[in-house]
Amino acid sequence: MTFSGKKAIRYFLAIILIFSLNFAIPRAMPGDPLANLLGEDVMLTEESIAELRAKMGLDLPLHEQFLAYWRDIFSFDLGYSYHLHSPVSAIILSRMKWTLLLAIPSLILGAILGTFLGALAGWKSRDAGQKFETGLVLMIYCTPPYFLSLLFLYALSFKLGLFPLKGFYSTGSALDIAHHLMLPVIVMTLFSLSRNYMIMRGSVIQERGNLYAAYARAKGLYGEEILFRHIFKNAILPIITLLALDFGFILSGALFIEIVFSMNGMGNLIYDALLSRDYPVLQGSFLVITVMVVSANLLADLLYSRIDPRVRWQ
Amino acid sequence: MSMRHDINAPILQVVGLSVRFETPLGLVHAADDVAFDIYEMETLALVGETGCGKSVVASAIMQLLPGNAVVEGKALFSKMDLLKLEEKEISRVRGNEISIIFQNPSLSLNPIIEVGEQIAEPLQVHRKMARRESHQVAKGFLSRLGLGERSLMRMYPFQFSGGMNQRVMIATSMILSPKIIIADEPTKGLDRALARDVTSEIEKIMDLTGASLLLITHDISLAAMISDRIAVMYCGEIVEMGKCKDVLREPLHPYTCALLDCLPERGFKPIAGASPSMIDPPQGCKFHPRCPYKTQECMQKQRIRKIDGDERQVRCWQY
Repeated sequence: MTFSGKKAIRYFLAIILIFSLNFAIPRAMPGDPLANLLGEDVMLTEESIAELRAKMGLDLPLHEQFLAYWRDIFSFDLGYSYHLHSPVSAIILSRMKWTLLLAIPSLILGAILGTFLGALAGWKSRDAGQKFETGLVLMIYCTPPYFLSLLFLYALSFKLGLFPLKGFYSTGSALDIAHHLMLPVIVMTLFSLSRNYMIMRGSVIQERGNLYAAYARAKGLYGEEILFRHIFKNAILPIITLLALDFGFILSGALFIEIVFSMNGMGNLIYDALLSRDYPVLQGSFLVITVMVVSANLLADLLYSRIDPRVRWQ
Repeated sequence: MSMRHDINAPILQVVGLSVRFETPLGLVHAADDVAFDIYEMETLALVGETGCGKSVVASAIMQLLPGNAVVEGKALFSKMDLLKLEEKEISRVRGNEISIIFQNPSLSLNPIIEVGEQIAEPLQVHRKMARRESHQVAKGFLSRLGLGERSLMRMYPFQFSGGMNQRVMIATSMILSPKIIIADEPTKGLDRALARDVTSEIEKIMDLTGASLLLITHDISLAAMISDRIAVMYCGEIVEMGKCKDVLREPLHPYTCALLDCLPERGFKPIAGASPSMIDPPQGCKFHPRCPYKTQECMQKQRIRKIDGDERQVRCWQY
């Protein structure tokens, strides 16, 4: 069995386990499973409760419920939200695209810029200009993303009028959306850049002290040649791990940014569902995020093994 | 191995080389007034105990010392003083005209780059050779060192033994046919059989490339086997230098005598006393606290180098 095959099976098992837990938790929680599945604030009459219980199969034996649960999953049926009066999968699909529109460009830009700037910062960590840059990035790193969003909104939109303050969904034309999206993407890019920058900087400082870096210099490599031919590849390994680990965290970082910029993304959806105890939406989002985090980890694992032969050959 | 240097001018002249390190504990005098010449196609062995400053001399010549080192003196090489060159200029010398073999091959190679690429790298960096072409050349060198299989080029250092990595380093160091190869403890940490292999590899390179070798080692039997001349270092100073067989057959300096007596075949006799501190070295002759022949003179004054003929140099008041 190949390395990637083994990894894929392990992640597949993890997903099955998490999905099964998602089945077990509302049924194991104290109280009526129906209330746990619908959300606590849903008011229903006696007849509709009995009707729903039959419709959702809660009167069936547990193993049949389990099979039905998996059947639903495979047909992308994640339940029904009685708060939003709509199937959960449809809600998540419509919300997810906004989050992805925000997160994907920011994460890619943040990863590329953060890694390169961080590598140079680590390479020339004694240089005064680099120290200033590192201080600046450190400030961004320490600032909560929602506060950064507010600062940017105040300075760039309110004072300078460069970006719109509201009306994200006013016209729906691509250009208008891009204009609205610019500021949140900048903030989230900075957020992701600062994290990658800090890790990469530290990693390069650590790697450049290794004997192979000294040997590269002894072979006649000069300046940044040593960084990009030898150190960079070794130093980037922690970044790959970070990107995967951060995936869930980034989605929650996006939550605050979405709230500040009033975007109808996953963050706002989860936030509202929490406030109204809309369990079906919460569980559905939980499953979708799980699949994304696990896929990100699998991707990181494969990428890691591509770059580091020591992982591949073990 | 012939002694041709009587006719030729030296290709590397080290004059008055001193290296000090600024540390929180004080100034460490790692090398003190070191001077030697290297001639074309000869092997000079720099021998001494661990910590006597021999590797520091090698790193100083290549400007590879850490930032807290203070270097004085000259290292003249093809009309340049290597110690005064800018980083950009010395980088053109490193690996190209003077190359170095580090003492820890497995840690000196990049863990995630294929060995073939690492051997070929100097060709790409110094000669701007294309990747594929440089790999062809690298493969030729690797097979000359007994690692001929094509698949080996695509292996990684962690898949190689220490001896194989050592050969990778040797191939890398000779690929641009440098004028001087510095081998820093090439047999350290290798067992007897492997050390013998590496020794014969080194001899092979010398024959193949016609480079001069500065061999830095604590292994006197290795030095005896492959070097033309030998310089004995103690506490940052060269105490004796001369033709290898002369120095070994008839050592002049008391330290050289004591060092040779340590060898198993000469009775395994340890040198009395301990190595002196490099921060606060003894006044006068640095060996005097341990020297059985010391006189008032040795303790008071810094002894002068005495030149015996032109071949033999010794730093001792007896001569």
